[in-house]
Amino acid sequence: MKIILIEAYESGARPALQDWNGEKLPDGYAWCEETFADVFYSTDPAGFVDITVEDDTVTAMTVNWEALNAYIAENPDEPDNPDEPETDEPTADELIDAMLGVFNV
Amino acid sequence: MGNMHLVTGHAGKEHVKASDHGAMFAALFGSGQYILDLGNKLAAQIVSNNLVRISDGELLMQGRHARIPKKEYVDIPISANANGYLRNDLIVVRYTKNAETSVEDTNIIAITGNSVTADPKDPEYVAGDILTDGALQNDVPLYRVRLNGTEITGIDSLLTEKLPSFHGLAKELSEKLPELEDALESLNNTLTCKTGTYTGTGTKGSGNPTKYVLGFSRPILIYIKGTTMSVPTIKNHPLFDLTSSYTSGSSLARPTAKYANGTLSWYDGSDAADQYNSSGVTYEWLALGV
Repeated sequence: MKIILIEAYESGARPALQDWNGEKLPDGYAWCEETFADVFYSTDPAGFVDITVEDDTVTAMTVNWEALNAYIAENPDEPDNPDEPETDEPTADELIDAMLGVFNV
Repeated sequence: MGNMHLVTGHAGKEHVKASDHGAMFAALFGSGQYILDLGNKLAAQIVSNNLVRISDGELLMQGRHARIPKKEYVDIPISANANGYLRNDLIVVRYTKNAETSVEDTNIIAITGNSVTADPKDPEYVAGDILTDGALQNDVPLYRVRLNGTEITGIDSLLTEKLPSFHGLAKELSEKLPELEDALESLNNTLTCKTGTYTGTGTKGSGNPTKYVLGFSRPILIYIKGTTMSVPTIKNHPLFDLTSSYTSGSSLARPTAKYANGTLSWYDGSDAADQYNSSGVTYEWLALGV
């Protein structure tokens, strides 16, 4: 099940939907059916939605166009570049080295 | 009389035997042989080279209770040993049962070992099963007395199993409780690795931080890998390493991470990609914490 931050940021945005396996909801979050992800991610940028929460569960979700347009107006040159080529992924040895480095702090 | 003996019941005649109580004590406290937590606990003292004194104390022998009352003691004579010879004697509590009369008794005695010039052995003793076999004899070794020539050079305690009282047990447990709680706490604090994914929204900046609930009481690190964004190697750009403050120097602008109430949040003011929040990008993450 996914969870969503109940209180939107001042901009009207919300952080990404998150998977949550715990039985108890984290404070400030509501359960969110997968089907609402289509609405949540229907815009670019995403996450500008208004939600209705009943019994800790999202029952309705609509795009907050006003907040979205305001954000776009304030951030006209979004530098997001998803086509940037991926670099080498870390090897298993590098991952272990990094973890050991942390533990040896 | 029924086919099961009602020990604690009125039968109109004498019917409770020592073996009945012995069985109950063995069932309640254990069928072994223990010194109980009272008085001087049958402590041994060398009085002379031919006398060892056993102080007061309580013994439970396969459910049978034997005692030297408080303020009393028993002197055990040790037979003379030849000069130049070594010897081990055993001081034992000897239980006996007369086969004809069934009269039972206990005595503390010394079993004399063999005198040898080297490597003396303990003398043999009888280990009987009173509970099951109704043994006619059972010896409970209390002490080994080491002799070198005519001199007693030392006494070794052989009955090391002590049976605490209920009060002593409760006190010991209560004293151990903090230690047990610490142990449980450390078990609960086992390092945990969690993994997951999230899809970026494309927003950025301090007013739109990326948030992720991890639920750790103490996070150690989190590694986030974007599927299409440029991700540097883990060595040079570790992740959100929460064990120490992040130091700049990487080629990738680093978000500002903070962790509160089980939730990690971070942002970057200039670039959603650098905030690991590119629109529509699925980010895989791995987190370690306790």
